[in-house]
Amino acid sequence: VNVAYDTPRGVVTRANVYWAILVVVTVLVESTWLGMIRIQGVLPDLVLLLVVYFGIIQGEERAMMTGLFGGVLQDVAGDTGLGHHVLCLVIVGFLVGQISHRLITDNPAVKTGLVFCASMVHAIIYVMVDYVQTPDIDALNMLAVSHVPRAFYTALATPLVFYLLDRIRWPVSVARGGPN
Amino acid sequence: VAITRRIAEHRSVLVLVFLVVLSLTSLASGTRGGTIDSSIRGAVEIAKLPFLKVMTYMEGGIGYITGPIIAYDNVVEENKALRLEKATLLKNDAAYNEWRAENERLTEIIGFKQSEPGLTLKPARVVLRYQGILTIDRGSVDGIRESMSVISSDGVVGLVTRVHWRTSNVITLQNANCKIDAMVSRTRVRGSVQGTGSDLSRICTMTNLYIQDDVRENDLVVTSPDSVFPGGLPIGRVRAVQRGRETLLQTADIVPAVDPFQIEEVFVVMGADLKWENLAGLDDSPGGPRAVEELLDTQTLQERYAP
Repeated sequence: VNVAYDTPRGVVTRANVYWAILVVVTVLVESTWLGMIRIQGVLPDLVLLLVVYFGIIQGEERAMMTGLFGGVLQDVAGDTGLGHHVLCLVIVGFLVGQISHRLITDNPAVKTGLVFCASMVHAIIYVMVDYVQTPDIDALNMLAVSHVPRAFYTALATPLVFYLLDRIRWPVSVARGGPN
Repeated sequence: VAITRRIAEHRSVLVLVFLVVLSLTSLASGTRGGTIDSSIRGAVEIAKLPFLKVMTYMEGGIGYITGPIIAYDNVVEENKALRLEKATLLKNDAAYNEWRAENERLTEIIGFKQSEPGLTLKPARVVLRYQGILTIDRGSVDGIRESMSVISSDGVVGLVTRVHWRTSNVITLQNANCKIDAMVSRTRVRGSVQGTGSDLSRICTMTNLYIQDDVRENDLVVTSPDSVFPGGLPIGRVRAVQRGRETLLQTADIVPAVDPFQIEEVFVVMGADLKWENLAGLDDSPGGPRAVEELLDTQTLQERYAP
C-alpha cells in the first residue's frame, strides 16, 4: 500500500491483509450471491469495480495487483483459462491508474463514466482473447449482447459499491499521498 | 544507480509488462487442468462453500416469506383446483359408497329370493315415501294388482293399495289405515296389527288381544295364515303390553321389523294376487271395488266376519 515512509510495517501488512480479504470476499460474493440480482442474465462485475476503485485512490500498481489477484480468482471461479481475466483486469487497472492521475473531480458521474469505459475496455480485451482462442465465435455479437449490458449494469452499481468501499475503515489511509 | 532509478520511475509499466506476459504465457500454455490450476480451483471451491450454504439458507428464507405473496395468484388457482378436485373426490366417494350399499342390498335380496322358492316375488324399488305410503316403480304393466302384499328380506312392508301404469302405492304399517292379521309366533295368539298414523312414531299397535292371551315383551309377531301375506313373515317385536282396567282386551306396542323410511328395495308377492272380494268375503258391490283401506286384511277378524 502506498503509505508514508514512516508508517509502521505492521500497519501496512494489516492494510494488505484487509485488501486481500476484500478481494477474496468480492470474488466469492460475485460468484455466489450476486446471482440474486441477475437481470436478464447480466451481472455487474464487482472485481472490475474494485480495480477501478483502487486505481482511482491508490494508482495503477495497487489496481494491477487487485486485477491480478481478483482475476486469478475470477478465472478459477468462472472456469476460464487461467490468465484470461487477469490480462484484462491488469491492463484496465493500469489504464485507470494512469487516467486517474489526471482526474481532478470526485464527481460520482465521472467515476461512473470511468467505470463504464473501463468495463468496455475490459470487454474488448476479453472478447479479443476469446476470439484468439476460439476464432469461430461471433465476437461482435458476444460483445453487444453480453458485455455491453454488463458494462452498463456495472456502471449503474458504481455509486453504491464505491460508497460502501469508502465506508471501510482501513488501518492506514489508502488514499494516494499517504496517511490521514 | 541510474538504472535503479529508471526502473523505479517505470515500475508500474514494468509490472504491467510482467503481468501481461505472465497472463499471456498462462493462456498460451493452457494451464487449465494443471497442478497449480487445480489447487487454486480446489481452494476457491472450498472457500465458496460457506457462502453457498448461507445463500441457500437466505434464498430459502426469502422464498418462504415472499413465496406466498409473489405466487399469490398461483396459490389461489391451485386452491381452486384443489377444491374442485376435493369435491369431485367426495362425489366419487359418495357414489362408490352408494354402489357398495346397493350391492350389499341386492346381494341380500338375491339370497332372500333364493330362500323363498315357494313365492313368486317381483322386485321393486321404492321411489317415494310419504305419510306411511311408499311408491314403488312397478305398476300394472308389471302385473301388479291391488291388495298384493309387499315384503322385504326383513319382513312385512305393506299392501298395494293403488296401481298405476308404471307405479304403485304401498300402504305400510306407519299408516293408520293399514291393518294386518297377525299372531304371536311363540303362543300363536291372533290379533291385528295396525299403524298409528304418525310419521313421528314408528311403533304399531297389535289389537284385539284378549286379556288372558299370553303376550310378552320381545315376542316375535308374524303374519297370520289368514292374511294375504304368506304366513309366518315377521311383522315386528312386542315392545310393551298395555292392559286396560275396564276392558277385556289388551294391546301391544310393536316395533316393526321393517323401517319403511329406510327401505329401498321391496318384493311384491305375486302369488298372493287374490281378488279383494274373495279376501274380504264380501259381495261384489255395484259401486265397484271398495277402497283398499277397507280390504279384508285391513279389518279385524271380528269386523270381517261380523254380520
